[in-house]
Amino acid sequence: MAEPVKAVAADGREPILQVRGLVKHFPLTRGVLVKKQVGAVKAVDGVSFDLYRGETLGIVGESGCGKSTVAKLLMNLERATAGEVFYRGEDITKLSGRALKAVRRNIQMVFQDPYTSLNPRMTVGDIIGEPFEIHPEVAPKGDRRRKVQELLDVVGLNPEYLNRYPHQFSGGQRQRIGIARGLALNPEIIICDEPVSALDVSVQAQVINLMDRLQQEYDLSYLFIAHDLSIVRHISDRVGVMYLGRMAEIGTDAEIYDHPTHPYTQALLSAVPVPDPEAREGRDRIILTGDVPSPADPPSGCRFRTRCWKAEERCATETPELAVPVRFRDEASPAAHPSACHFAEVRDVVGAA
Amino acid sequence: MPEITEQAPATEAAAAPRSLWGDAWRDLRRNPIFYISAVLILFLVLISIWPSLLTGTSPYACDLGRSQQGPAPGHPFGFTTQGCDVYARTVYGARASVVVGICTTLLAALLGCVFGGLAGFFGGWWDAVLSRIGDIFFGIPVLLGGIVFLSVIKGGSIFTVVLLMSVLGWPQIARIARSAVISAKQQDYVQAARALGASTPRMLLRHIAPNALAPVIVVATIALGTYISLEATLSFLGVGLKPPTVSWGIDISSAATQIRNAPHMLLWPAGALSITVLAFIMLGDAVRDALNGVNYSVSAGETLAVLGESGSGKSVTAQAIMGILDMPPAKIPRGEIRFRGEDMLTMSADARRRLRGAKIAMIFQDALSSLNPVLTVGYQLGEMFRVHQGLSKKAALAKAVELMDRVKIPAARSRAGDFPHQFSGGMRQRIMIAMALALEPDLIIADEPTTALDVTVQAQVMDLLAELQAEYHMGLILITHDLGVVADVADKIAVMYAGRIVETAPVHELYKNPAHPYTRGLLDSIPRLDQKGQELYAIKGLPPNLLNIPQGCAFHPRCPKAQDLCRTDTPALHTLGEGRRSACHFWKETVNG
Repeated sequence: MAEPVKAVAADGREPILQVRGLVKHFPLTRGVLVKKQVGAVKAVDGVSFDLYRGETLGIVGESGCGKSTVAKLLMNLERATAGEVFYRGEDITKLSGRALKAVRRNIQMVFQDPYTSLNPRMTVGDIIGEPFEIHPEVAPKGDRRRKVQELLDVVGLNPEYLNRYPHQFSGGQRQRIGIARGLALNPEIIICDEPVSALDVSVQAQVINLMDRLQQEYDLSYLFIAHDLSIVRHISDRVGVMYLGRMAEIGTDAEIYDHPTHPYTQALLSAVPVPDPEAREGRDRIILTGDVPSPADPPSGCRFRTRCWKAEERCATETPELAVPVRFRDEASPAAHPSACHFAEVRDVVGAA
Repeated sequence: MPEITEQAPATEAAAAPRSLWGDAWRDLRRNPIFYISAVLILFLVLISIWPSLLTGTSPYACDLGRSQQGPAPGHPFGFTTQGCDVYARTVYGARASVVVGICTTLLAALLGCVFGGLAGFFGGWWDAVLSRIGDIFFGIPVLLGGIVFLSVIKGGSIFTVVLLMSVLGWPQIARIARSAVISAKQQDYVQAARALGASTPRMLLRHIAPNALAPVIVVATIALGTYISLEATLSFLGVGLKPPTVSWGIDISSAATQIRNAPHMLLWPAGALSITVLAFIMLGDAVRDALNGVNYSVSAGETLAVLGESGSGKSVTAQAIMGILDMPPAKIPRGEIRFRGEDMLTMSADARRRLRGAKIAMIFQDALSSLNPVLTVGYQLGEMFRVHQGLSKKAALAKAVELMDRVKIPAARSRAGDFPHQFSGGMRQRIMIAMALALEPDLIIADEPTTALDVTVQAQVMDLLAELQAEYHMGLILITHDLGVVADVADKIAVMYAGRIVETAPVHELYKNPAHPYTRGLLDSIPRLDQKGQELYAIKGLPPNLLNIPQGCAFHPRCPKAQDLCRTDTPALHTLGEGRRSACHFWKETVNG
């Protein structure tokens, strides 16, 4: 199988996490006692990317594109059907037991829903202290209470709130508690699955600022999964766009937002309402037809071809690779970034360039 | 590093830690039914431990000479056929009932939790096998099974009765435990524990069990009463407890044959049994109310917290319906009420209802729950024409198909026979729009119509709405929290905060030059291109709890411009100019930056 590629970014940073050909198929079964597989939901179907130390990689896409499944696979909450995830050169998808537990210290997660991600019957102190109970080597027993209070302070909550229960906090405060729990073991990577989409607009900015500050303070790498494109752009160094279980396009935030070459990215960006009434007239809006096909029965070839205005015969038969398109390969333009489209070309949809 | 200001509302600062168990206990103590049942049960438990507290007479001290005699001094309830003291036997009979009831419940709950819990937690084969075993036992009627087995094994001791009843009774508890564990297992906090590397026992004991326990406790308490009456029934039928054990069931059985001669023999044990069962059922009800009550009040509180800002928007729907139809129209965020204005308030409920159907239509956020899942889409659309215009079934269906075509549902004719769940989210929202359009209303109120949709689908739906609005010449009130959507489609905007309008303005002016600090804060907190890598502007603090709106201007605790005046005086909605109003004492300063 594939070895961890010795990829080094242009500025010399090394990838901390390398994802290669990740696949997750959920079997569709029929029958009660004897289960027969009648198909599979191809939630994630061959996704590869690198996450560099200290960077934020944003993953955007619509519901059903597999972005949350990618998060679960990286966390080993689901077992990958195929593919590898290399962390420090080691494939963590095959780990179990003690080795997996050790890796978990370094990769943590912040969940979307601050209302269901905290156990309602535990105090905040117990919730944030639980990582220390599971990994007692991180903090000696007598030290834990102080550590928990420190963490509360770090995320901007009153350390005196230790003995309160989750339902005594607002959504934004709960998300801070979730972040404190994620930070407890001093991880290197935090996977954030829609961490602010359940929050009020005015509270979102508070949490985003907190995450930004923590990243600088602790040199964290974020995988930031969200559907809000403007928030992703604000916080991300690089952005990957997923569609129906595959990566359609990946690049720096400027490359993706200002020089998208994949038709889906262009449609997605043009569909996002811009909070500026002046932009209403000048915008190039692409209204797609139809819905996202079912991941249990995805189209052949390019996944996007059923809704794409550029689709030709070739798109149905030949799956486009996620690579820098040939026509841009020799240019030093921002269009020269990986895009899985046979007919990739730049189209400025947000009118930003 | 800029510091993060987290201002907990005053109520919260004062709040002590409140666990869910504590809340349930507090609710329980407020319930008089709990006290009545608790006193009764305590009394029962006491006399079953020390029956001699109430009577000096032995239940076995019988004198055939006093057979079936009525009350006598020292023997207030009279005598049985064997001449034993009915009062003493009734008192001593409590022991069998209480012991059997409690032991059976404990054993059945233990079996049920272990089997149901394992089936729910591990799923797969565990679930298949354990659930089938449970189903087999569940299929045996407890009473019939009890009669057959007990007459075969000729038991009669408390031990055999308890064992048999719990063996027959556990599947009921196992089913509840299984579903409780399955629902707890799917919660994010269990995933979070797994992500931390928690062991299986830890997840089960620390995260799943405490959260799955509440429903099991409720079922077990209610089952306790059932087991007591079951024991009495079995004893009555002569297959349960056997003499010399004193049991109400046995005494009722022997008294029943003599009901004409000596009704007092039946009255007392039967009465004691009824009261005992009633006490346990009352306790079960009280416990259930307390445990469910907590969930309810928590979700109610949460709902109110997100409401102020229509944050997630999910919970807004219910309030919006009431708000729109039962509050002054002036409170509707963004809108052009072109007719009737305030009349809606003084109008009779009947007139309002008529208005609602024909002149005003509504589109909800969650199309799936607004459509009837067991009726086809064509039927539901056609219903509008059948009811309001008296069309025939066939003509109504034709109209429905036409409407589906209007909202661009592909293959409308064949899809009219499909059920709502067979459509995608975007298509369902189109059906909702079709339904709203059916009677060609003058006004459509769309409450977060695209919040549940993906952006590319949202663009399709908003596009369609705008097109239809122009074509039918309708007013559109759009309730949303999405500043982008508003900028895209709105002509005028009303901004609400804590239940009041704080600013109204034409769309361009609002975005260019907001006249209320809250609007300004919202606009500033949107990530912008030229600010990448910088701190986002964040409105400090939290949206207010609607039960506890701050005095004066509701926004003052979060407002960077707040002065003393703002803390005491509620600002009026000042008119700034054509269509521009702001509820801020310092709107002039705000407009000027």
